[in-house]
Amino acid sequence: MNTGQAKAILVSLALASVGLMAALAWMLWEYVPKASVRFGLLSVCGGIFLVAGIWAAFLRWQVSCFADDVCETIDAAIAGRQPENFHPYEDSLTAKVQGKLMQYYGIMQESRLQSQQDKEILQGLVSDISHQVKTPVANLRLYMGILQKPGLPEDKGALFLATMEEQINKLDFLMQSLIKMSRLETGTFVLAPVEARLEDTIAQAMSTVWAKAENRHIGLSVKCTPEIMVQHDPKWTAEAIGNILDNAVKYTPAGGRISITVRPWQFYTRIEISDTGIGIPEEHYNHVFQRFYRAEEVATEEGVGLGLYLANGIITRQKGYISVKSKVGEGTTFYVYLLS
Amino acid sequence: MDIVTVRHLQKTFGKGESAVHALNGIDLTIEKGKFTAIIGASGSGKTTLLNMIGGLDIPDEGEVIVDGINLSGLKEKELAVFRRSKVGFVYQDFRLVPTLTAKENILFPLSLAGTAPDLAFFREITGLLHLQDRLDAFPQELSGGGQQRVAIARALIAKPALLLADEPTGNLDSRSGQNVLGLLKLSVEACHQTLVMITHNLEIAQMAHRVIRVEDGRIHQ
Amino acid sequence: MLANNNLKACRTLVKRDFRFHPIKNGILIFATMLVTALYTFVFLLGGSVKGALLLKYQYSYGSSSQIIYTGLTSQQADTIAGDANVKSTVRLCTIGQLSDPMLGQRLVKLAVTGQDYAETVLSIPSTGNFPQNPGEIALDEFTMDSLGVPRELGAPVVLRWAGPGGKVHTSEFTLCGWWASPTIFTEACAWISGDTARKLVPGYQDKASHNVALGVNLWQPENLSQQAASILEEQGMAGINFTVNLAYNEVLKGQAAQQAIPYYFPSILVFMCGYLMVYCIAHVASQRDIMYYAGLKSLGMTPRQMRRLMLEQGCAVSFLGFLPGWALGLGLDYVITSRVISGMEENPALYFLSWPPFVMAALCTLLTTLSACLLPMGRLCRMTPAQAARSAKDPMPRYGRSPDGRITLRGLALRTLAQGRWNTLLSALSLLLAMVLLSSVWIQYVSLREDMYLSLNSPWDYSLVDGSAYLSVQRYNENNRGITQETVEELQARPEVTAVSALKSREIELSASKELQQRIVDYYSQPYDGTMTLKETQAGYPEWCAGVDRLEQAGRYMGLVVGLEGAYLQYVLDNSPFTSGSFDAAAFASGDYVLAAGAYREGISTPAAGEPIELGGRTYTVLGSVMNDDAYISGENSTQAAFHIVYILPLGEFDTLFPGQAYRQLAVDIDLAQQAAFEAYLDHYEQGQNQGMGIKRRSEYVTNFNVARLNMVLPELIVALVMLGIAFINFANMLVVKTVSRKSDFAVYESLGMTVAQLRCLLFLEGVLHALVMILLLVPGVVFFSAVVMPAVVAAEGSWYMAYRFSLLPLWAALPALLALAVMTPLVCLQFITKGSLAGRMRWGE
Repeated sequence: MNTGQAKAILVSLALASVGLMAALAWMLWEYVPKASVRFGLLSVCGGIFLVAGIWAAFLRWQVSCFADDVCETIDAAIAGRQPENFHPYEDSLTAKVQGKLMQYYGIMQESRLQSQQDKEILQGLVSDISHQVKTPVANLRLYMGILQKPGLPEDKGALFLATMEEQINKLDFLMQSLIKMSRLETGTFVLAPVEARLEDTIAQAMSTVWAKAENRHIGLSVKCTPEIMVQHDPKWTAEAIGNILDNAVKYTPAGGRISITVRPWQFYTRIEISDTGIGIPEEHYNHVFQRFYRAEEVATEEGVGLGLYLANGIITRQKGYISVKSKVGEGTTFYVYLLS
Repeated sequence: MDIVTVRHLQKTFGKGESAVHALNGIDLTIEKGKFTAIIGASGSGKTTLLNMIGGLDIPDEGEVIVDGINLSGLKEKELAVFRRSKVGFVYQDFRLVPTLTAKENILFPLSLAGTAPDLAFFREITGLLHLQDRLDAFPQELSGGGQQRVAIARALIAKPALLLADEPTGNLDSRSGQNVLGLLKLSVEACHQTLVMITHNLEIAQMAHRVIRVEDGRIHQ
Repeated sequence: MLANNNLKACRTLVKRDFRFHPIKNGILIFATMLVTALYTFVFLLGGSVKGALLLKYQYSYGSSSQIIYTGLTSQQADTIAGDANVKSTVRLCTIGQLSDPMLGQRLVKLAVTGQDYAETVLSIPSTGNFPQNPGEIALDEFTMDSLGVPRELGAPVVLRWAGPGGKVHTSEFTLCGWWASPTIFTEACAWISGDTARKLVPGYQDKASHNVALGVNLWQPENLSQQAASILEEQGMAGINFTVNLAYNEVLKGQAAQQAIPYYFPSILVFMCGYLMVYCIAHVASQRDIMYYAGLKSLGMTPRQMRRLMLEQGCAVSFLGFLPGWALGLGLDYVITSRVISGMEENPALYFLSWPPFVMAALCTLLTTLSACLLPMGRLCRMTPAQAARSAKDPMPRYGRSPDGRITLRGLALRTLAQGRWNTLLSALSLLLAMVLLSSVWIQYVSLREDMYLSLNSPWDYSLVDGSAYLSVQRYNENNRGITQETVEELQARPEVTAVSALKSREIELSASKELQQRIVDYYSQPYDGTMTLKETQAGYPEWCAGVDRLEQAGRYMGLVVGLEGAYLQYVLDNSPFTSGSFDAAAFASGDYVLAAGAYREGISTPAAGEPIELGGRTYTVLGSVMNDDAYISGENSTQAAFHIVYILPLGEFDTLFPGQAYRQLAVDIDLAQQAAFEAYLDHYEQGQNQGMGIKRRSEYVTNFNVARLNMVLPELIVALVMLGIAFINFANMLVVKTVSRKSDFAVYESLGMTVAQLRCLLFLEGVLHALVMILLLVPGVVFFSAVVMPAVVAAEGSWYMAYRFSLLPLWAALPALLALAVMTPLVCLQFITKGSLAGRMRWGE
């Protein structure tokens, strides 16, 4: 409603009340013969009018108080302090609106803190990366220096070159992981969930570790009916499952077994990936999904500690989740839950 | 940043010889936006602790501070507003209002607050919980899992900062339990909420950021 | 602070509650309906009683107008009718006043027919019609009886009447209609047509003749006499005569309200019992309810919303109960009020019907229901949900546990009894309350003694009374010849009659000796209580006072010479204690002695024993003086004889003193075996005779007494019965809830191998146990109350025909019903809840 309309309504209300009063006065003087009764009625009507007026004024005052309270709350939020006369648990409109504003402020604060934290993490990340990159680069530089030395025997040279290639592969792998991770962190990561057959995705994931497993004589088995269709991004999901499988292969002694079982549930489809590896102690269940986490026991194994972190990120992005159950020395089972 | 701070909490039920010390000096902080699981044997005081945090019960001694406000300073009518605006409860036995339909049950906290529902959010939640088709059913016409999903939707609808769940999976088989858990976790992460859950299930507890073990009314780290 | 508008959720919950618990709410509505009905009934009855009292004042004033101005000219009447304070007027044109002495205290105006005025004084002919032709007249029945006019249209009427100047005329009219005027009217009109009036008083319509009476109703009927005077003053007509209606007198209004108060007392009982009943019904399933409310609280329902919830629930239940409750209350009122208020032509229930009792009833019901719903809520509102849930859990009793851990059906039933013990106790309490109420009403009823009542009111089987002395307001006409010697002989000749006693009376003027004069003056000057003398207590009877003054100043007074025999003499001897001398049958029979009868109070207020007295020229000796219980003398004496001394003579002596006088009344005793034959004879006799005689029968007194006895306790009886009904419903409801709420438990029992027969046995045992608990509480309570409290209550009522009598009849009548209800209700419920599969029933409890 614009101001003009409001004004028109106010004027017509005023006119109507004047008209009604005039009509009342006329009726009183015309039909009520007794003066005392006449004035009595008039004053009663006047009283009602007055009460109505006071009531309107009271409402107006309440509304302006309400507006003041809301403004004060916003001011306080801007200044980052607790608002005055803040009674969050009063059963009033003010408290309701204040509560919502504070909730919003809280969420904004939260995300500010989050980005602060992210910045710190990024710093850590940079130092981590430099740390991770330092060794292969130093190695490469060392081998390069040796190779540049003349008179190196052919077979020795070939050995160094092979070692260098390994280091470069490692760097490449690290770079790939870092890129994925940074995309995951910055959210530029685009998942395209489609209704697709889960079997294909698992097959794709297995293809990446097939050779490695063969090498270590680890048996791979899959139980998945082809008709299971799940809303997911096949490429990235394959990547995630692949990472878990890669880990499994890595930490399973030769001759072990890795099995994948898929069970469709009401809301989630559960992909169970169990191995007969070294297992994870209970207290580290939460740690395995953290960035650059590497258990002390497996420090000798190659890896950067990003695989499970990535897998977790990918699955969570698709509104699924991963849980783990393990017994040290007997094996580990990862459960990947994908929203059906 | 801590959303819940609990100090020296004491609660005794009964008197004399039959007195039971449900809580025996509990100190605890719960971090904002995290999933905290409370585990412990039956009768160890978990539910009492959760009730205190949710403002459903008053401690004999000690204080509960939620989001900067000390609950012991609140009157019953303020506690009621606290419950419906700050806390979402999911109970083991659902506790739906039997005379309201699923939809009315879900929107009940908003009705009590006199707030208009955020319909997009309502559709999102009911869609996620597969409740779209059963919105007009009364609780007694729903299965146990269905009732639990309604209870979860009800706890989430007001977007409370704190989600308290008392063995939400206890009455369900492990499969439905996992379902419920996943949904809870999902919504908590989406809305920056804090989830405190009592559970017997270690498999579920291991998904929490932090696990608190309560024994004989004390925290056992 | 802008309040949060969040009360809509409550309405949804209430609506759903009605849909989900139709039985509970149905019973609640039924209970509120009964409560409303009782309130409506009580208030309507109270209002009717008050109205009837005011109407009685109005009747004794003789008009329903508030003010009557008399002696106006028609112009003055117009002026008053035009005053701003006057709401409406009715007009009467009087041409004179009947002056026949036989009319006694009644004042009968000879007036020109005025339909409006006739309505205000309830004088519209019920037989025949208003006079239209010249010479016609319409009269009321009492005037006709007093004048000896036969009840047939066209009968000739000879009237003595006094015109405006006081001149007495005698005119002849023909009867064209009559009506039965209410017994307490002291004023009446005799209607004649305008033409007749013109013939009698040619100038009656002149502007100057002051013959208009104006009945006036004001807008604000307060301080009537003041207003009436101020109207006259304003119009410049001071000095005009007026009278104001007693019914609008503030004091009398207050008095009427005061007298009607006892009829409102049952409303307190209704509130107490109603509160208890509604509370019980609303909270019988308290455990379930508390869990429900605790759940709502845990979702964030504020105390305000909780209160609102209960308020809306209470209001909904009340409003649904109002209409049927009003209807039922009106029905009760229709049936009962006409019995409590007698002597009205219309049904008083309809005559006094007004809206305030209904509104009052609605408000009181609302108050009862809301306080029953809301008060227990207060505690719940202050508790946290967890506290509330804990409070709902009744701790199990520690007694009755078998040592080996096995439990019998009896043990199981005992546990059930113990589980809802507060509800059981509450239910028992409401039953006890209703039962005590009923017992008290019953004991009051049986304590009203017929024999005591009859011994005083109708000591003989039949009274035959002269037509002019039939009613207490009629003046006995000594010249009437309703009962003659032939009548007496005819009666004595009847085979059924065992004894006939006769009574005659005559008023004569006597002069008192100085001694007697002094004695009487002293007697009436003695103090009555601290504040006034005996004479002053009679200030309300100016004629009586005038009689005493005359004696004091002139030494003249009226004597009533009564000749009597047989049963009448016996009655006097039985009921009138001697203040001097003693009775000597032989001396009395000799005719030389008389008995002097004076005031019914200690002390001699008449000539004393041994003094001489001259009556009708003969001198007698006073045999003794008695305190006169004159209840046996029918009719009224003349106004001059308002103060009189009674001289009692043997009938034979009376006849020699006043020969030829007819009988005033006869007392007839018959052989009761032949009552029917005698009644038939009397009926026949009554029809054959032409109203010269009235018959009072003892059987009428018996009937009247029985009716009156029932009527006295009827309002409370109704309240008590309905309360008992509600208490029974409440008890049944408790049993139903106890049984039905364990539907799933029973399914579990059955799944564990309990047979249906065992289940039935369990419920039977439970029913018997419940009944036993009730009986254990009820019997001592009611017996104690009946035996210890009631004698005092009966004594406090102070009726002379009431004597406490112990009776437990209502209790014995209610106990079998209670037992049957306790046993049958759970068994009937079982039939319904054992339907369906075990699994389905077990799930029901979730």
